[in-house]
Amino acid sequence: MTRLAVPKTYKLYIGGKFPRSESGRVYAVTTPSGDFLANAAQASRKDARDAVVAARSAFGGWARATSYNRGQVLYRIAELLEGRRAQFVEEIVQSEGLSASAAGRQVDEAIDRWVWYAGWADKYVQVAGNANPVSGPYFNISVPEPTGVVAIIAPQSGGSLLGFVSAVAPALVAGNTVVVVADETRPLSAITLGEVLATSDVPGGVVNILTGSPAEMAPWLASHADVNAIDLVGAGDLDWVHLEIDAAETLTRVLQPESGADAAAPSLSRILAFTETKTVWHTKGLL
Amino acid sequence: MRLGDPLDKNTDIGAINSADQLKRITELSAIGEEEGAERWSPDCDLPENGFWFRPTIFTNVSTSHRIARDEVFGPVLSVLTFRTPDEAIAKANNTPYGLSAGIWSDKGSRVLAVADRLRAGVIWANTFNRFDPASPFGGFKESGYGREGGRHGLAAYLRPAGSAAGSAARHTLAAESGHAAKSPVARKKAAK
Repeated sequence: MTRLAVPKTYKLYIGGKFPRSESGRVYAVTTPSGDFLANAAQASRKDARDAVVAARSAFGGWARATSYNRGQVLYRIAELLEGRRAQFVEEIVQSEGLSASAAGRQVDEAIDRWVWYAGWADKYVQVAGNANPVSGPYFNISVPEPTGVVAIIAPQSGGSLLGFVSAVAPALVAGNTVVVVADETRPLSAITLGEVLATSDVPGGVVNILTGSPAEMAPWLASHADVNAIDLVGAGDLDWVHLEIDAAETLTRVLQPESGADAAAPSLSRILAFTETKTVWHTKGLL
Repeated sequence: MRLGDPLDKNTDIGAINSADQLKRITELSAIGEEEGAERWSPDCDLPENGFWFRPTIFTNVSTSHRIARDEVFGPVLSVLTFRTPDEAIAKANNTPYGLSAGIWSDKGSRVLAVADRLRAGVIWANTFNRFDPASPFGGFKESGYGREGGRHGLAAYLRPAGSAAGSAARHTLAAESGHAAKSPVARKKAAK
């Protein structure tokens, strides 16, 4: 007797849970040649708002974790990614039509990039902070603090896992919480990464993953008053100028779309883009 | 309180900068009274010419009041009370703005702990309204983009040598030019 295949229905990842879309919608994920691979949840604007609420409530705890602790938690994710290597390779082979060795190289680079960002967690503050020499009896110090809730439109081309990691990891380093809209046509590695995060030490709500149409969700995220920054790295094909205008309404910080093979290339500036400089003055006694 | 010419050393408070702003301050203060806060202003003389608003203190203000959540940008002070540092922090952060904050305490460790949790760009501890060209000034949230002053203020005018004119470069600090975008893989390759 032959076994029936059990096709997977991928869900959203919101607040540490895996809910279906509240709209009940799903869409078919296919191979590049059009063969059915799996069903994925098609998130609605309500799901996007729920994700922002989850990200906001997770912000305090994640932002206040020590830099060293955040680095350790992020590094542990790289270990878990390594453990799920075979699954990532298989999903990339199927959904991107790559050879197993090319998919393996992409997974390697994604893991290496994650480790690289994890390493910055207890270092970027020294590089971006400053003791300011003010003219007076004051101790004056500037430190980068997390911006808050960061919405991300993940890259929609190039390597699906690498693009996702490149956009999400830098925002997490400084203690931001994120709402990511995954690659629409190749969302499998993003959701599998969500499953990795759910079994890691990252608190629920720190990373929230939405699958579905970026064109549908981006305007709601850009205009959301409780979103502090939006990374439009993968929004190049959308009407992103209007997204930027919507975002400016509540002074949401914006990173513009990037294209090409090195979109969202690893850099310290991607970490600092989602930080705010806080300057503290304290009086010094006159002896 | 002496209201008058801002260039006069004896003046405590100068004029409001426009009729529009005076209207906004007047409206917000009226809303403050409507929402139940108690209003107090000193009985002082106002100059005849220009846009003037009597310095005003509101007590019995709660966090939901407009005068507590919005920036009035006028000589209006809303006084809220607290019993614990947690309560003070929650009330201070309960606004879409985050330009500056002040802490008064004789306990240094408490000052630092509270400063850590206030979501504001400039925090004055046991002092207030200090400015210096060497100290970055600017806000969190809806209080603005970027910083002026200090190394962070200069960064907006700089681009590290050799970097592309990418959008992320706007956020680049001068100090990071040595950390050009290189993935660990690229580094490994370079090492070979």
